[in-house]
Amino acid sequence: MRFDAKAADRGGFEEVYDVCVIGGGPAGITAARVLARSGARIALMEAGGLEIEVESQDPYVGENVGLDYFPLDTSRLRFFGGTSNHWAGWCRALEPVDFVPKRYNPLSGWPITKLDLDPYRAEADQILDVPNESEAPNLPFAQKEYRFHRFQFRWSPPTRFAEKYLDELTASDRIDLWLNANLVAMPMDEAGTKVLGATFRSYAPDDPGFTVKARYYVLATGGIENARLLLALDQQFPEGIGNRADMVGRFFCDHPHFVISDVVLRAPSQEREYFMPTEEFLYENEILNFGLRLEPEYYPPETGLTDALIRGAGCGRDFGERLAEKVLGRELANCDLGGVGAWWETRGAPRPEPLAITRIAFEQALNPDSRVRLGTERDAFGLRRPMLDWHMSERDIHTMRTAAMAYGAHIAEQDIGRLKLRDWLTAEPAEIPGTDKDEVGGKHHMGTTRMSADPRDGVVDADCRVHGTDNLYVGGSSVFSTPGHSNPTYTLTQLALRLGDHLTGRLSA
Amino acid sequence: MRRHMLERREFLKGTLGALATFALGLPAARLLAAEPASALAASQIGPGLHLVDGWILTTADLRAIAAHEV
Ligand SMILES: Cc1cc2nc3c(=O)[nH]c(=O)nc-3n(C[C@H](O)[C@H](O)[C@H](O)COP(=O)(O)OP(=O)(O)OC[C@H]3O[C@@H](n4cnc5c(N)ncnc54)[C@H](O)[C@@H]3O)c2cc1C
Repeated sequence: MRFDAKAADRGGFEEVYDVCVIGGGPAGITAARVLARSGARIALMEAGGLEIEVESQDPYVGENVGLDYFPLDTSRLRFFGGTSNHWAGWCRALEPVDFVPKRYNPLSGWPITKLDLDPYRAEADQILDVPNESEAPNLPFAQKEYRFHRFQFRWSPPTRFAEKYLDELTASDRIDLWLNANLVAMPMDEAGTKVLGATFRSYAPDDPGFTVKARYYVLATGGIENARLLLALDQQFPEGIGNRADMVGRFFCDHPHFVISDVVLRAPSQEREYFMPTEEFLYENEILNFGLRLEPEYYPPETGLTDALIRGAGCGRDFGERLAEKVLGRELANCDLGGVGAWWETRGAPRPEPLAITRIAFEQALNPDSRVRLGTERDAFGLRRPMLDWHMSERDIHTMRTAAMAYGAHIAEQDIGRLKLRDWLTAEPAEIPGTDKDEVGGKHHMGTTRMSADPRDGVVDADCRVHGTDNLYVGGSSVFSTPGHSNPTYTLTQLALRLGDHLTGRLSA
Repeated sequence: MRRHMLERREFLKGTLGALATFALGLPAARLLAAEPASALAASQIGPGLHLVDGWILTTADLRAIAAHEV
């Protein structure tokens, strides 16, 4: 069933649900769907509506006080479907080595292994609509190479969770989906071990709010917001919820994305290639995992005038219609110059020059001072806004330099080409480019409620349950203990499926 | 994307970039001017490899540059 907190009668909340899932993005929707399969009654509480709106996006506004980062309200979306409404669909599971502690990266490693997530691969593939894994095997090198593997990503179309699951959730008699329901309080017992309810408000300023009661609660509001809410819901405990060890919000990392070198190739290429370090190379150099992309300069193929005219016929259509197609990701005709733009721009196309860049996306070293904190300003619900203090460490710079040097050595030794490190990377200290100059990050928000065996080292345990609580769980990439280099949504979907299974087990115990 | 392309053209115009390009014998090099090899300060970074102003070059590249073959 579907309700709107702006309009609906809230009397239904006499019911004690089995699970209250807070946040209707990939993590929350996935966990709710798994739980519903077992017959459990779920309240799926989403802060936004079905479209982006100024008032629902506003609580995401925050401050950046560390390294230059994206405005906090543009790097995530606060309406049904969450950030999947504009994610790009790059998918890859973590590597076995990502789960293993590394001496030179204190606290690293997970209390689970890849084997704990592997059983959820087939279903994660289905949820994210990614082709079967066998379609994207790692590729061999033509030459002997001990430093790198060639690897491939898999691609989600990308799946828009709202579009894909709204009808199913609306039709479900197990799930009550509430829109425009903002979590504003989470009353707990005196010891702070048990959540007693979750209180929500719509956007009406005079809304007194309503409380949903459930046996278990899952906070799945995104990698920054999970931490921000645990800290900001400080009505009962000044340090917030689940924060006795002062770990909530710490260890924030993204996958930094930078162009680290320019390359002259022996022969022009139009093929992107992806490389990551072998375990041997990783340990030998005490670096963290990375994905290195060789991106040859792209030249659009020459388009003949006849082809351009045929394709340009689509340009006669209404602007709105074409815009809709673009939003849906369809390839559009180039409508410049009345529909012959593609011909004009590529006519007499030069032979591609043998130039490329390498772009890195890498795992950051764990740093407790890289963190989500609370600012002094408050949002419309009276909750303190987030403040992001993002940092990079010497180990991070070392990882980028080592990757660039090793790839440069590889292509020189094999005479594939020659590579020049970007000046900012060879500068001492490195002059990290800001968001005006480079990609900077993947907008992957990880680590702020990290999973740990020991409550002193993180926020949730191996089942994603907040340490020291009985019935509060966290979903999403904030639980990543160590982020690896792959984009996070595939792994967080696996984790949400596993969390659903875990709670199903507890409900039936 | 466009920004990176421009930067790549810029880097080809840099002197050492030009030298390396010549050493590789690439067509783009014909457009660029060389400089005396004495300007090179190379540090060895592995067997047969040198880091020169950010470039990773082979000993053969350096020899070619030094012999003004470029
Ligand atoms: C531009 C961009 C491109 C990306 N591309 C990729 C990619 O290619 N591959 C990849 O793996 N990842 C990518 N990501 C990251 C990806 O979008 C996230 O990993 C994913 O959406 C996280 O899912 P989530 O459910 O944890 O959080 P979200 O998707 O952020 O969903 C959180 C939900 O919680 C709701 N919420 C927030 N606060 C409250 C509250 N107080 N009460 C109730 N509900 C609340 C929000 O409205 C939202 O619906 C990209 C991100 C961006 C910004």
